[in-house]
Amino acid sequence: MAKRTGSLKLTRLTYYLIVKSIVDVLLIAILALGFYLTAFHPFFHGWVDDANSRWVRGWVINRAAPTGDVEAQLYIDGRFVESQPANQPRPDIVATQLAENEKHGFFFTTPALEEGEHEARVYAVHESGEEARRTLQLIGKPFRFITEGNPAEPYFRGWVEEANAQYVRGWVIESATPAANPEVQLYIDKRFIERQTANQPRPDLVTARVTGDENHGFFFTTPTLDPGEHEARVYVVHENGGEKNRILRLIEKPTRFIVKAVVSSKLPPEEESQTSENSLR
Amino acid sequence: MIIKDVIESSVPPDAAQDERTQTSFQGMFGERTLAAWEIASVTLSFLIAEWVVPPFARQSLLVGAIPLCLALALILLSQRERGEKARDIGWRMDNFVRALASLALPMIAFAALIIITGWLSKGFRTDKIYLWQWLAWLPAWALIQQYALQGFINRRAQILCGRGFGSVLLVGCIFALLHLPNPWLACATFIGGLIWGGVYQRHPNLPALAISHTLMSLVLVWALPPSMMSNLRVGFRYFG
Repeated sequence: MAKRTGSLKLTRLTYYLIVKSIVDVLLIAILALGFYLTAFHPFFHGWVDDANSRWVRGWVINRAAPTGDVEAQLYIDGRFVESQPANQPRPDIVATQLAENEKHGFFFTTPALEEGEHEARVYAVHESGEEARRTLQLIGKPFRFITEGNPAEPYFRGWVEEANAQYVRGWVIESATPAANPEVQLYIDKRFIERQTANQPRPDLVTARVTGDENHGFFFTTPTLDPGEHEARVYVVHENGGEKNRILRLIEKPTRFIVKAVVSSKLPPEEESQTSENSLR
Repeated sequence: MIIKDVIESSVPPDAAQDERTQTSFQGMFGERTLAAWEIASVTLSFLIAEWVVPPFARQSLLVGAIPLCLALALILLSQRERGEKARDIGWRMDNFVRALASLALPMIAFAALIIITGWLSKGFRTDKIYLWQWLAWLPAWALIQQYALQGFINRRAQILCGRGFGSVLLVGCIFALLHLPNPWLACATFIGGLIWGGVYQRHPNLPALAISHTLMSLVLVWALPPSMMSNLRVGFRYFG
């Protein structure tokens, strides 16, 4: 009888243990689910429209609070670049009835990147736990893009108008300080050729109302080159925060030109040059 | 014999069915298995309170209390079902002096080791021992820990591994596990768990163990530098 009583008590103990195990599992599941829903806000909706060497842009909406700003963070190649509120006007979002308020766009200026393929990711930031936690959620998909050196825009406006066997010419203006005359450097076939200050007179820039000051041109004499196709690149030196932080930024695109095997001194340069259309932008 | 037959014949059919079910449970979960399950269940509750609640529910005392209350409930129900008396568990004073006397020598040796470590690591600089709330709470917290550790886990460990080194080692390991990932505290609690577990098996007396636990905690906090103790934080909070 005593043995049976002891057995009954152990059986009850087994039941208690089973019940407690179930409660433990439920407690962990409820905590995990609650944490997930709190920390990883399921109401962000957005897309990265475009990413390139100049900008990364798109939009994001918090569907739980459609009128509020969402903080967007840009990462390129896995490294943090910038954080900003997504409040740029995007009338297309209102037109497609995704939101009533158009201020849901983000526009990041792409930082200086090495040549090659890169990946931009934009995350929506969500604060929870009385601002103790900040979680990031990917907007859209990672966007891959290719850069050919650091672009001059938006820090500079400029154009390489002509590159040929005799000369390379164009103009450049610094956006923030239009009166400045930045340094430009010529590279042909990726080899440094010459540096000079972009201060050649270009009255056509004033006529076209690109600038009020005509001294923004550059003119390089092309060195002697082997016959065949060559590539000219003109870089403007961007002194971003002093002498120690100088970045070369490519003016427009690399310009290709052909040097013929026999060059006659009477031959007009137009025949062998590649002239850009719409050179005054 | 006649009485036994009468009792057995008087068991109603439903009760007989229950008994068969219970007997099959008994066969499935032997006493040692049950003891292991009890130890695992209570340990898991403490681990949930240390590792799951802080990241998921931040500093919520209410949520943190749930696994601890579940553990306490299981401890109390288990002790009732197993017919353990308060005296068996260690709520007694008749062996208080004997328990303290057994604790004295290992405590002095361990305290000396802590003081030497503190001296070598440029300790004795903490302000924590001047926090009256902590000082007031420490003896009660020490008693609760010793009740769970010795009054429950040690006793179940004795069912599982028998009395002696095996069960004492298991108690030390569980006590250290509950103080991870704080490395110095885990080492200290492993040694403390062995000492208290060994003494408890000879002289089960929870007040004596709680006094020892309180004194050792004070020595630990006083002697070792705060960088080693990480403010006695354990579990997920250790990283915070």
